[in-house]
Amino acid sequence: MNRDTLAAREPLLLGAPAPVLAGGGAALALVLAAAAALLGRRELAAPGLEIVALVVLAVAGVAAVLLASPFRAPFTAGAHAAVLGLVLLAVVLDAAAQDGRNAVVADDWGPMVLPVFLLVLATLRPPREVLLGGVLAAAASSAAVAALSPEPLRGVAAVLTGVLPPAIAATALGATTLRALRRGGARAVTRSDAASVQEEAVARLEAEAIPLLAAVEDAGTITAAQAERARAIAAGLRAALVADLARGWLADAGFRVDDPDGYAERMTAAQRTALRTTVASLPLADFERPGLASVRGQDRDAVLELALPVAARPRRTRVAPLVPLLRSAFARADVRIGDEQVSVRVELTVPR
Amino acid sequence: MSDAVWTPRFALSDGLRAAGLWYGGTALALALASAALVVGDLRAVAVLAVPVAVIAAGGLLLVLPLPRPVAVAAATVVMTAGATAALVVLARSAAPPASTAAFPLPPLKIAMLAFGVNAGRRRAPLIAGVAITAVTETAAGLVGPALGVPWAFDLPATAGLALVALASSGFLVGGRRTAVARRASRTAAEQDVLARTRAIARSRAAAVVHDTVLGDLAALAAIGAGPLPPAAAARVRSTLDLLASPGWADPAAPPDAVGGPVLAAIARAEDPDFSVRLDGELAALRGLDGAVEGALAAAIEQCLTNARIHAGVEGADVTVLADRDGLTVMVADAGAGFDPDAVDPDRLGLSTAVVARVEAVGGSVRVFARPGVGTTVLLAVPKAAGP
Repeated sequence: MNRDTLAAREPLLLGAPAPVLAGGGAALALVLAAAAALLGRRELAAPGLEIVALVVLAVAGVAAVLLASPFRAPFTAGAHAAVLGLVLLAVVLDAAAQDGRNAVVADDWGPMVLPVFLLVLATLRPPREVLLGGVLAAAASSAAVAALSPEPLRGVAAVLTGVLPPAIAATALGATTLRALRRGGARAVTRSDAASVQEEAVARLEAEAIPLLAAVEDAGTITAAQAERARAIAAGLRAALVADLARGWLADAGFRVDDPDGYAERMTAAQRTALRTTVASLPLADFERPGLASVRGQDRDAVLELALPVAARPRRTRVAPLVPLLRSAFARADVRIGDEQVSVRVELTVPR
Repeated sequence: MSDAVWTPRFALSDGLRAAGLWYGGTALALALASAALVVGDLRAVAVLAVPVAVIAAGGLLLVLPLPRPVAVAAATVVMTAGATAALVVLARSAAPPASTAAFPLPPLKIAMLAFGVNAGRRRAPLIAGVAITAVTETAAGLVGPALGVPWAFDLPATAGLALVALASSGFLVGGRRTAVARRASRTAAEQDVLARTRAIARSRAAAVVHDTVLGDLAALAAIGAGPLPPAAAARVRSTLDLLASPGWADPAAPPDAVGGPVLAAIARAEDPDFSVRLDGELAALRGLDGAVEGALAAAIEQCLTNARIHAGVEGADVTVLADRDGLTVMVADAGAGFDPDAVDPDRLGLSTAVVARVEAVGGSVRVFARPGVGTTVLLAVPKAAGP
C-alpha cells in the first residue's frame, strides 16, 4: 500500500474520516448543485442537459462513496481519476447547459462542488497527486467556462479563485500532516519485562533443580538416587526450555497456533501490531484464548488465517477501520464477519 | 504542548492549520488578483489590498497562542472589519458589485472561514465559521444597501461554511468510530515491544540455565554416587549464586536469543568491565547456514575483543539487520578508533580473524573508523555459505 497517503499512514485516525467525508461530501455536493441550479435557473439554456449534469454528479458521489469504503482500501490512483473525471464531466455539462446565458459564473456549482471532492480526496491520495488533480480540475473547468461563458475573463477568474485555493489547501493538509507524522512517529517503548521472565525461570528451577543442587553442594557428596534425579530433572528442564523457545508471539497472545514453518515469527512489528489491534478491537468470546491461527506458505510467501470466535456479531462500522489498517501492513488482507466468528486472512512475504 | 505525549492528532492539527492558512491566503490573493482583472479600477484594487490585509491579519490572530474564545472574538471582529471595508471599497469602485454576494466578495468570505479552521479542535471551527458568517453578513446587510449594494444570499460562502462543517464532522465522526481501535493499537504496539523484550529475556534466561543448571545437573548425573569433586562443587556454588543475583535474564546484559553460536560468542567477549548491547532483528539469526553462523560468530567475537582491548570503552553495540539476501551485523564502539590507512600491527586480527573468515563464506566486511571517534564494523553475510 502507498504509505504516502494519510489514510495509509495512519489508517485508524486519518483513514477513518474518508467514508464519512465521501458520504457527506457526495450529499453536500448534490444539494449545493441542485440549489445553485434552482437559483440560477434563468441562466439555463438547456435544462435537460443540466439534469444530466446533476445525474453525472450523483454518479460521481456514489463512486466516491463506494471506492472510499474501507473494505475496498486502498483508494487507487485510478479511483481518484474516475471520481474527479466524473465530477469534471458534470461541471462541463453544467457549463454547457448554460451555453451563452451564463452571466454570473461565480454562482455556478462547479467551483462549489470541486472543493468538496478535493477535501474528500485529500486523505486518500498522495499530496502531489491531489495537487495535480486540483490543478487539472481548475484548468478543465476554466477552459469550459472560457469557451461557453459570455464573460470568459470574469468566469475564469471566478473558477480559479474557487478551485485553486482548496486544491492547495488539500495538498497542504496532506503534506504537512505526513511531515509531522514522520517527524513525531518514532515512539520509543523502553519497558523491559526481564525481571518477570527471570522470576518465572527461577520459580521453575526452585521446584526441583535448585533444591537438589543446594542439597548436594551442602553435603559435599552425591547419592546414586540424587544422580539419577539430576538426570531426570535435566531431561525435563531441557524439554521445557525447548518448548519455551519454540513458543511464538501468537501462542503468547493466547492463540492455538498451526504454523509449522514459523512464518509468524518472521512478521514485522507493523504486521504483528496490526493483527494485535484487530484482535483487541473485536468483541471476542474469550480474550485469553482469541482463537486459531494457521499459517501456510511456500518459500517466502505465506497466508495467515485467524479464526476469531466472537461474543456477538460485530457491526461493520467497528470492523471497517481495521481493513485499511491490515492492508497497510500486509500485501493483501480481508476480514469476513460472521454471527459467531470473524475470519481474518492476510498474505505476507517474509524476509529471506 | 511540549509536555504532552505526542500522538498522530498533533500531526493532524498541524495539517489542518496549514490547510486553513493556505486556503485563506491563496483565496485572498486570487480574489485581489481577480478583482484587478474584472473590476478594472486599479486604484480601487490598490485600496482593496488594505482590507484584504486586514482580513489576513485577523486570520493570523487565530494561530497566536491566545485563549480560544478571545482569539475567535478578536479574529471575527478584525476580519469582519476587513470584509466590510472591502465592500465599501468595491461599492465605490468603477464597477460596483451587483449584490453583497457578487464576485469578488464570496472568496473573501470563504478565506475568512478557512482561517476559522484554526479556531480550535472538534466543533470549534464550525462554531467560529457560523459566528464569522453571521457577523459578516449582518454587517454587509447594514452597510451594503446604504452604499447601493443590496444584500443577497451568498451561496458560494454558504458552501464554504458547509465545507467547514463537513470537514469538522468527518474528522470528528471518523475519530469517534475508531476510538476503540486506536486505543487497541496503542496497547498493541506496547505489547509487541514488551513481547519482544520478553522473548529476548526468555532466550537469555534459557541460555543461562542451559550453561549453568543443565550443565551442573549433567555433571552430577555423570559423577554418580560419591564425594563431589572440588571443581564441580565450585561450579554448583557459582550457579546458585548466579540464580540468586538480580538481573541475570535482563537483555540489556548480554542476551542470548535464537542464534546460539553468535550469541554465545558475544557472551564470551564480555567481562565484568565490558558489556555488549545487542539489538535488531535477532530472529534473523535463526535461518543462518551453520558455516556462515560459525564464521559470523568468530568474526563478531574478534571485533568485540578488539573493542575491549583497544577502544578503551566499557561496552559496544551489536545490531543485527536482516535484508533480502542475508543479514548484516554492525559492531560499533565509541572508543579510541583508529586510522584504517595506518593499521597498527596489533590490528592484524581484523584482517585475518574477521575479514578472511567472513569472505570465506561469501560475505564482506566494511570498516569505518576515525581516531577519537570510534569504530564500526559491518559484517554482511549471506544466509547460506557462498562459493
